[in-house]
Amino acid sequence: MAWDLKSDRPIYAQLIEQIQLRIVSGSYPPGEKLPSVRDMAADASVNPNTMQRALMELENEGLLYSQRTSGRFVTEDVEKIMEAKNRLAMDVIEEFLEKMESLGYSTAQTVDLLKQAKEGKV
Amino acid sequence: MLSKLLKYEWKATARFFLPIYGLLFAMAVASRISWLFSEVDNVWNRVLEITLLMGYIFMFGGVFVATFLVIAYRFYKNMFTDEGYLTFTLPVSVGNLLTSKLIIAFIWSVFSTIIAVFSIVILMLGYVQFDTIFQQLGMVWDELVRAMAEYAPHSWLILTEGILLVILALIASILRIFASFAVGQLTGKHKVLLAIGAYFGFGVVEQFFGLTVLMITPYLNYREVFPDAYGIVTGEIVLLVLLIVQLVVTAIYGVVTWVLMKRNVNLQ
Amino acid sequence: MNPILECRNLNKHFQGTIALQNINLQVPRGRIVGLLGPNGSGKTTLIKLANGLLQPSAGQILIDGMAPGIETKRIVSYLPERTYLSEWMTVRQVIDFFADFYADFNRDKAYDMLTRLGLQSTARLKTLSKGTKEKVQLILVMSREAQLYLLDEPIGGVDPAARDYILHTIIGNYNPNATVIISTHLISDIENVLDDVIFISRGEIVLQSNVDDIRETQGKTVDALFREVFRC
Repeated sequence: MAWDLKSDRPIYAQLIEQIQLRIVSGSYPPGEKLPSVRDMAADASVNPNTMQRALMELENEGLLYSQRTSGRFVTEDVEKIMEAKNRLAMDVIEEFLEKMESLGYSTAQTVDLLKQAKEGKV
Repeated sequence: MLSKLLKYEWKATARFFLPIYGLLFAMAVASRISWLFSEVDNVWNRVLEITLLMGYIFMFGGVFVATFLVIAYRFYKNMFTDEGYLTFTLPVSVGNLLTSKLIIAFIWSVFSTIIAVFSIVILMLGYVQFDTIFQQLGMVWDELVRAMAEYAPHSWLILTEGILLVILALIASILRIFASFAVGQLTGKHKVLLAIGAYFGFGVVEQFFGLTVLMITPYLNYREVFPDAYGIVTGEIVLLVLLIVQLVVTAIYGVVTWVLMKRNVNLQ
Repeated sequence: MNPILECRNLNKHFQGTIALQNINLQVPRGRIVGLLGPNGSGKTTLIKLANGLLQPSAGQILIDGMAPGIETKRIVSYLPERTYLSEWMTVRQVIDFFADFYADFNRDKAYDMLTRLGLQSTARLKTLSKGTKEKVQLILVMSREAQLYLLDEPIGGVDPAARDYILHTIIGNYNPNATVIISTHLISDIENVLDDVIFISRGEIVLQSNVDDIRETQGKTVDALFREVFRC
C-alpha cells in the first residue's frame, strides 16, 4: 500500500487518515508491532517529526499503544478498530451522498440506483 | 590535528614528487650507461648520448621548477578551488593549516636539492674518484676554516648565521608563494592572475628592501649598537643584519598570509 | 539553550551588490528546515557565512551561540553545491580523511551506505560519475553525528530516483536533536520532509513558518504559497 499525500491539507492529518486506513483494512493487523518512526517516515518520504505527531494522535485515539521499551503496536481492541472503520465508512458515505445530491438524486433514489448497480442493471 | 594535516599534505604531494625524482634518476642512469658505449664511433651513438644528457639537464632544472610549481599548485588547489570548501570547514585553525603546508613544502625543497646532488653523483660514477673529491673538499674546508679564523675570528658564529640564513630564506620563499595567493583571492575573480602579480610585487619590494639595508650596513657604527662586540668583525655583522632582514621578511609573509586567510577568506 | 543557528542584523555585500540585508533569524534544534528562494536570492551566501567561508559585512551569525570557527566546525556538517573531494583519492581514503578530522564521524554508517550503493571502497573518485560523487559526498556528510547539517541544493539537477535516494538518506540518518537546513528552489519535491520553511527573496527573509501551519491557515501547499510569493 503506497502512501498518498498529494492533498494540500496538513501532512500530519493525511498521515493519520492513511494509517487509520491501514489499520481498518487489516494491512496493519491488531496487535502488530509498527516499524520505527524513522522507517515509517522514510517509507512515506515525510518528516520524522510529522510522522511522530500523527502516531501520537492515533495513540490518543486509542488505535495505537506504545510500550516504552519494545515500540509501538496496533491496538488489540477489535471493537475500537471497528468503530474507526465505521467512522471512515460514514465519511465516505456522506461524501458520496453529497455528490449524488449535487447531481440531483435524493437519498432514496441513490439507494435504488445502488441496488441496480449491484445487480449489474446499469 | 597538525600531525593529521601533515599526513594528508604529505600524501597529496608525494604523488607528484616521487615520479619526478624517479625520472631524474632514470635520466642520470640512462645518460651514464650511454657513456659506456662511447668507444663505438657511430653518429647515432653520439646523438643518443647528447639527447640523454640534454634530457638529464632538462630534468635537473625541471626538479626545481617542479618543486616550486607543485608547492604553489597544491596550496592554490587545496585552499582556493572547490577543495577549499572542505579545507576551510575542517575543525582546524588557519595557523595549523599553514604550518602543515609550510613544513611539507620545506621538506620537499630540501629533498629536491639532495636528490639533484645525488643525481650528479650517479652521472659521475666511475669518472671521478670520490675519495679524492672528498679529500679535496676537506682541504677546501680546512682552508676556509683557516681563512675565517684569520678574517673572522668567530667562525662558528658565521657558520650558524649562514645556515640560519639559508633556512630562513627557504621558508620566506615558500611563504611568499602562500602570501601571493592570500592576496590574490581578495578580489574573488582573477585569483591566479593577481597572485602572480603579487608574487612579482613582493619580489620587487624584497629586492629594494634588501639592497637598501645592504647599502646602509657599511655606514652603521655597530660598535655603538653593540659595545661588547669587540673582536667581532664586519663579516659577522653583515650576516647578522642580513639575518635580521630575512627574519623580518619571513615574518611579514607569514603574518600577511595568516591574517588574510583568517579574516578575509571569501570563497565565491 | 541557544538556538542552533541565529542571525542578528546580518548583512553581506559583494563589491557594491547587496547579497543579504538585515537578516534576523532563529532556527531551533531538532527541526528539518527548508531554506527556500529563487536562484540568486542569497541562500548559498547565508550557508557559506554559517560555515565561515564568507565573512559578514555587518551583524552576526552564530552557531550554538558561537561565531563560526573551529568549535562550530566540529558540530556543523556541510554539503556544498559543488564537489569538494580530491579526485585522486579513493573512497576508502576520503572516509579515513573524514574519520581523522571529525570526531563525530561514524565509519560503519558510511561503509554501510556505500555498500548499499554498490560502491567499491577502492574506487578512485575520478572514475566515478558526477552523480555518484555527489552521493558519496552526501553519505560522508550524513555519516557525521553533527548538531547542524547545512545542505546546499542537494536535489538540484538530479533525476527523480536520485532525489528519492537523497531524501531517504537524509530522513534515514536524521537525529531528533539535530537540525537539518536544506536549501532549494524545488519545493514540491521536499515539502513533505520539512518541519519549517524560511522564504528568502533578494537577500531578505520574507517568511518563516511551520509547513502544516501554512497548510492549515492558508489551505494550500507551501509550493503553492511559494509560487504566489515569488510570482514574477
